[in-house]
Amino acid sequence: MVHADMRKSPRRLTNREKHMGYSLIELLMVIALISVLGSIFLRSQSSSFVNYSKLRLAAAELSGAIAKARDTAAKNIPVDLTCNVVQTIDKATTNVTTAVSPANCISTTLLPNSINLRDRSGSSDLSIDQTTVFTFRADGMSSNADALLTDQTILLSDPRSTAVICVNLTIPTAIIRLGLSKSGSETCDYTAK
Amino acid sequence: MKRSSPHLSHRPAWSSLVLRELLKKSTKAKANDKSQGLSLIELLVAMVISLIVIHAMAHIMVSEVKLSRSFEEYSNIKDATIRVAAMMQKEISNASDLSVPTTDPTTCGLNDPLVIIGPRRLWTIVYGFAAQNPPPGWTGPKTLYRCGPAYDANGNLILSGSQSVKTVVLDRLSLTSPWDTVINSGDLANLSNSLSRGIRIQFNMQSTTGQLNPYIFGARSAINPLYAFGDQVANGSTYLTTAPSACDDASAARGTTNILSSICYQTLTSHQIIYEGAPATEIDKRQHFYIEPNPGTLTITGSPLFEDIVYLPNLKNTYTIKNADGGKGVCTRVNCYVSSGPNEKVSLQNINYLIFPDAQIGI
Repeated sequence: MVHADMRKSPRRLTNREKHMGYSLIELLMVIALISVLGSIFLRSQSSSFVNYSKLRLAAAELSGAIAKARDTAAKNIPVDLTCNVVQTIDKATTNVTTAVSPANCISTTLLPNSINLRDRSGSSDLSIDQTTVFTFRADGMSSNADALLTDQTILLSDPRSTAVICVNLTIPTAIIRLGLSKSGSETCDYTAK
Repeated sequence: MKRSSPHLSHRPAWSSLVLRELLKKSTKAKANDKSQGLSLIELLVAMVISLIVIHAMAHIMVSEVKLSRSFEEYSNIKDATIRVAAMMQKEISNASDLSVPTTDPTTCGLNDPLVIIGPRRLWTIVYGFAAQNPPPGWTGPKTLYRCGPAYDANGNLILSGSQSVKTVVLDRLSLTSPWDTVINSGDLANLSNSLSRGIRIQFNMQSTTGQLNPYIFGARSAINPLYAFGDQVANGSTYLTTAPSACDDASAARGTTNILSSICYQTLTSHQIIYEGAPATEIDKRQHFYIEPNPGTLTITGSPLFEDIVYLPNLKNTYTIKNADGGKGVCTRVNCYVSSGPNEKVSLQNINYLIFPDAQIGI
């Protein structure tokens, strides 16, 4: 029995060799092919996706800067001191600058750094719909320098993306919300996930 | 080789066979290295193992991201709740009355309202819930509205033009009716009830992951009973016919006083104290001078026997407060002068308190 098995085994090995699996080269070629096809597909889709991602990044940077200005006022200004943190979001330059009013009523080193939303997001064509000034008080409340009495919305857009991102600040309770307007003309949806 | 190894010679036959097989396979594999490859089974096993590892790693990453978002959301909700609570506490402390009527008495039209009334009814703020809950653009399930005058950049209420603004101030409430316990409310016209008004408020908040711990706080009207008289006059109280007496009776030891454009009233209220280790009753003797709007030039002299309180009609920042008309000194109890313009020039002597609708000063 043993000898018989030993004679059979070389034939079985030969058969298995004929049905051996894929070689590394074959595998690499298939992967390369899939990658090329995938990249072609993604390239067609990526432009709007990348631009939308940059918009989201700009919105995150802006909302972070607003929150930081609000929290700086709440944490660093004594309640009995006449002093406000004033934040300006400039339409032309997309700069977000923060100052105190009156000047030097608290140390300016406590303030958040100025940022440029185009630089931060990498979107050189980023645009803001309006120049906006927010004033934050020691109690964390906000108001608008233009004496607008209700909440204030800043729209961020990029000509290469159809979507518009809305950054909303409620007045006076300074709640920051991020929303989306898919076509740019419709109402901002702040419940979109 | 086999013969020289006694150890191998004692191996069972199947073991010897396996060793030979492996040896042959190894030799063959080396010989045909270029044509060797991975079998489908091997590939599948490798893929399954890879998928399990990737899935585990992805699961950890997703959990971390979810936890981070959840923490951020919780932090944002808590921050907003604290700010709204602080704003309500400030407004209630400046108010002279608050109430929780079944229907909104103002034009705001909010359900389940908390009505906060400012001194002399200069302002009214209503907190409540809109019929549509949550309103468009808000997460809900409930959102709290504030309806009343807006704030300027310095945190002062904008009272000019009686402009009322209705805005959402708090999102993510799970329940309406946060007004828990109300004390001494809705009694502005009753002179005998000059006690402080208070309320206990409980915000039940909700995040996407579930219910948060309730945020409970108390708020109290801190300026009563000093404001009581001014408010009651503004609310049409029957002060002139109730005890004890008006200022211009024989018992008021006053100097030369021209109060033609003001109303003065004396009150005697008592409260229990411990005096020299024993319970005693202390009488609060007060004279209340209520200055009507645009009184012209006026002189008021208080009594040394009373605590003299002057209620002024305009906000504190509209007044010049000096020691005398044209003087540069500070206001003192002996000599004080307040003016909000040509229609209101009030000289004060022996006065203890100045009460403005938005502030009070002890002299």
